[in-house]
Amino acid sequence: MKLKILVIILCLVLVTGVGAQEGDRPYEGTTLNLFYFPITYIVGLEELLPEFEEATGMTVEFELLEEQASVQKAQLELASGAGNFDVVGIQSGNMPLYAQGGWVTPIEDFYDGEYVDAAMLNVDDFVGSTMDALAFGGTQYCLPMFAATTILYYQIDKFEAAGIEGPPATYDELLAIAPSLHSDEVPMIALRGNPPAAAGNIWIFNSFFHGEGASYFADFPDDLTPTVNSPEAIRALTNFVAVKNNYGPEGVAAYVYDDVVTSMQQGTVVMVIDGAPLAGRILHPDQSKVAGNLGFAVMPGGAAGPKPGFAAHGLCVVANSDKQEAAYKFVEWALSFDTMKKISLSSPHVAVSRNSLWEDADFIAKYDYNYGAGSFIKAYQDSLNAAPADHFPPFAAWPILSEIMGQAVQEAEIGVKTPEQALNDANDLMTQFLEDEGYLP
Amino acid sequence: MKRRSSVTTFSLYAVGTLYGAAVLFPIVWMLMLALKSQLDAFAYPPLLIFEPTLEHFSAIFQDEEFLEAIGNSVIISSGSVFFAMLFAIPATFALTIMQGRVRRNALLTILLIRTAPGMIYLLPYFVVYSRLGLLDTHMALIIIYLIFNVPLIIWTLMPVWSAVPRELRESGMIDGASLWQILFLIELPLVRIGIIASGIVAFLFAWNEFLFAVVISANDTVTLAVAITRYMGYEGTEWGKLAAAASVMMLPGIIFGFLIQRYMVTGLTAGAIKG
Repeated sequence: MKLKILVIILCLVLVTGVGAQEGDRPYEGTTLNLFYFPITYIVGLEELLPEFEEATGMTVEFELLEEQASVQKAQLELASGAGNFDVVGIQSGNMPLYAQGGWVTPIEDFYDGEYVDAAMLNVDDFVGSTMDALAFGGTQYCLPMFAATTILYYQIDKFEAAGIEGPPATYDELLAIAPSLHSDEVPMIALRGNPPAAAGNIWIFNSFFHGEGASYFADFPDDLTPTVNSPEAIRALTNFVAVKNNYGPEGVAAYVYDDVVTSMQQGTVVMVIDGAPLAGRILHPDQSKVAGNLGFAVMPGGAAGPKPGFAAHGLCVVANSDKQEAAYKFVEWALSFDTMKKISLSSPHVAVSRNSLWEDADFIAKYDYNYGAGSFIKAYQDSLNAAPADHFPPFAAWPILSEIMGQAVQEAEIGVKTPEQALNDANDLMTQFLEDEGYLP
Repeated sequence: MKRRSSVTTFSLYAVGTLYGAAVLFPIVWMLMLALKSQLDAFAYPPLLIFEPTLEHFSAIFQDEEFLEAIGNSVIISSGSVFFAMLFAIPATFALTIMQGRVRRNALLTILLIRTAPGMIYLLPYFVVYSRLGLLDTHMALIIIYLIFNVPLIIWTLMPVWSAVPRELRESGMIDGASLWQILFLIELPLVRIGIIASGIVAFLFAWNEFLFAVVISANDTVTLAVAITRYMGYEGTEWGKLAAAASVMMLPGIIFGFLIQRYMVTGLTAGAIKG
């Protein structure tokens, strides 16, 4: 009798136990595929996966490729509807393409689902500009994981030796202090020079461009007539070329971001303007000779004030995935406050996209670099606030236009054309392209 | 006359040395990069004398995905050579027997298939594989590489096979041997070194191939050429690991290169006919 009772109890425990497990883990056994490139946040997510897989019973496989290869493969996969991925990463510049192509499901479609953990999602906590950058036509398609902007990094002792009190606030100031900071041994500044295909010059040049009040179009999105040869644009390119050619290291016209970062790490230039998220590398004690001697500031501006770069990266649910809910649940977990905090504390990922994390004590304790010339976090936040959301115009044809502009900038830099000639030609090329593609009559 | 000879000799050595230096420079630079710490890697002026470290090699050999990629590359490269040989050996044998315009046109067509840009094949294969569920399988890449390796082997083997004296084949036929017997028992042993050499060239093609591998492979079949791009992160390239991985990837090329060199200079059919 006792044995019978024991067996019955055991069966009940097993049945209710399994039932409870199924209730808690409705996606048990589901395998999700994620595709992107090895940005720090994604690498950090991969390390935390066991936690998610344990909690949900899902398996998530990451396919990560180098940036350019990844972008091309993602577009081939999504455009052909191959259906191999459930979650993809996205750069904000590609949002119009992905949205217009119908490649990703609007993330806001999931907000009302009964499976949503509202506290984990907490959509109002995301930095507004990053949300805007991953929306299109008033619809929120993806959620942000990475909020990038540009800042000015400079060697404090070089400034002190030259008797300069602080970082330049305008391009005129930058050019004025250049002669006293520049030397053949340690040139004043390194900026990206290679055209956009290799994460290039437009990321930096657009700040000069917008900083002078220039615009890519007559009246975006109503009038797409290109205006990249306006007097403001010519002034921006003239300044950019003057700064780089007169005060940059040899070969700076071909620099990619890695060259810029390495120059700053090695202390072979006095200052650089580049991504704030690169601070982790620039200040890494095993890789840097300038850690402890760097100041941080909002980059200089022109007639329209400082316009630092802005880009967001996010995660999206793929439209033709047949595991939409499960994919959403992964995105929800991946971008939750707890996950983002863990990644930011265990890796150099400072470009967090949640407001609450910017105010988190642990986060501030880790990233508030200050070597006597001001706080890194303050420079980062001030730059994010000053950065225009349309640093890269939200336009499906932007990748082509940025290629045209990138070539024009480099042509002016290496002296093949004057800034005015280069921009006139770029304007003609853009006009022709937009007419051919039906964007202009 | 003697003076001119010395000048010629000197010039040849000078050109050879310069050429050798130009070829070896990037390889030596890559090896140095693999053996330097991150801080030394981009020191200016560049450090020629430094304290070597094996940290990057150690890191990549602890990276499971890198090790899996080596396995995938071996499977795919070997598989593509094996299946390519199944088609290419009989085809080359037939082409050495054939004469006239048909032979010439066949050879030209095979060459055109090989020289066409890879992009022409990429999209159709991608779409078909995606419908058939073949994406991210070893066989998917092996089949695609047949497009390139079958012509490559045929064209590499043709000169070797053409050097086999016709009399051997004719003697075999007089003795009543079938074509298959002539192929397997008489001619194949004579061209085996050419087969090894062409197989190595085909293996290296598949080993180094990137375009198809990056699109067709995914999590389960990532090849070495694709896997090393993971060291090119968004916030920065891990140059030490990248150089170490590239050094490992180069090994088959270096080893097989020496082997091919040896086989290529061997008289393939010397002494085939006696008496």
